[in-house]
Amino acid sequence: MSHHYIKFSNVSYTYPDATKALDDVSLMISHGERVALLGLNGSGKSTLLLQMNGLLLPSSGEVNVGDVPVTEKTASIVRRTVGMVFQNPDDMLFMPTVYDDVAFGPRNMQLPENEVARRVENSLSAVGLENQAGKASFQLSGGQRRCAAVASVLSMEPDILVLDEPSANLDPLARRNLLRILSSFTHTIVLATHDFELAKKLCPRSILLEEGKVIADGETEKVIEIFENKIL
Amino acid sequence: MTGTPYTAAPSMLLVTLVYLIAVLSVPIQQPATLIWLAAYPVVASEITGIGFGRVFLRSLLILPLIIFIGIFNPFLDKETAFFMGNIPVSKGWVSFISIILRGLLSFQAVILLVSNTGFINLFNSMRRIGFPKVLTTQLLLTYRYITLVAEEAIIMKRARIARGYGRSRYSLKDWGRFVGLLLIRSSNRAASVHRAMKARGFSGTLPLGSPMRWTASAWIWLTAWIVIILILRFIDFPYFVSHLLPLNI
Repeated sequence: MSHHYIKFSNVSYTYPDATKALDDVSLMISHGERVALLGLNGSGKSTLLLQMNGLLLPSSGEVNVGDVPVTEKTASIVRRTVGMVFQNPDDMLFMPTVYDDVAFGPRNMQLPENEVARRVENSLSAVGLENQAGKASFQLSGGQRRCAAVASVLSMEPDILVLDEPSANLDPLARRNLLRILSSFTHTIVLATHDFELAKKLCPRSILLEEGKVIADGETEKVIEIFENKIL
Repeated sequence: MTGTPYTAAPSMLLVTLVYLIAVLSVPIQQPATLIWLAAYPVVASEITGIGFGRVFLRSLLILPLIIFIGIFNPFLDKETAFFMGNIPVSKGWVSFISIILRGLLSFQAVILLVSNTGFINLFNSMRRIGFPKVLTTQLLLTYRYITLVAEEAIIMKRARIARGYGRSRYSLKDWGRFVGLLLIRSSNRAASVHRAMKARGFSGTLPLGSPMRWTASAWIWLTAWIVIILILRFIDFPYFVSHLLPLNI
């Protein structure tokens, strides 16, 4: 499974409005690792995540997911490997029922309908929403919507799960549930978060970003200490 | 609303298409035939539990537009069509009534269709019966964008009320700013939604949902309504009632 690593080689990215979001970032995330991206708002965490999925492509440098360089041509292949959960679950849930939302990815992968059904069933039961399949997403609570968004990515059976601030706006119970779901995911997890507790519990490794640059990379406890010293 | 089992989306869609063709094919000087065709929205809305009153009230929304389309006919076509007592009724008025009826009946059939199937099922059915992918995807995304604009408008309205201290009147310039901002916000949200769709493999065509099951009741619904609509369209009921019926008594 070593081909499911993520490698950034001297990646820089500048938004069309000239905001430099990433500045010569180089890092390697091996298969099975759980990594938290830490940093202040605007430090480049979300941009880094979007590069992993091919939703943004580097202005310079190269991103590789396994042996595949992330380019416009390979993006669809990369997205089968890298599943991304966005910060706002409402951006991900737009179909009439939770079932259809979770089936959206597998159907785009043109899987047969019985395989789609199997994946939807497994994903919904993994997040505890097996009884909500027929509901519309707006009928779910905030925590349930987040779980449905995670399920909609799990159903694609990705080898790498990328999450943007997954615990934002969750109550303690929903947060604990999310932690349980993510802990049960056996492959690579990369998450951008401001939630130090989540990072400590889930990710042995953290990367600290500041103004688009990696300024610390190592054990989560130590990286959080560096971060706290910088902001306090 | 998901509708009752016998109104499965494809059968409902096909019945609606046949109905629209039937309504639009009625000659403009024969509004009486359209009155008989009103049986479909009236009966079907009651069977499916939506209620004709609700469908009728919703259909009135389009009335100003239909009136605008037909209002010039009475002024342009003054040739007498028939006499009501001693009062001559022009062909223009007949065609005006005909346009109103056509518009209302067509819109009522569409309301009935959407209320019973929901937009997504409707678009899936359109795809399955051969409508171009580009068209159905565009329609679905437009529908999604409209809901998104509505969501953003609600958020902005709440924010405005929360800090408006009871103020309800705003200048045209302010409204212009609100609308501009609404478009920017909704377009940003649309970009986020699109990004989330792309991340899950969306490449321009929305995937079809589960195949629609054609139950026996859906077949019965389809067959029965097509037969009824064709009878209502092609049998001259006024003639039947006034000429044929007395012969049999």
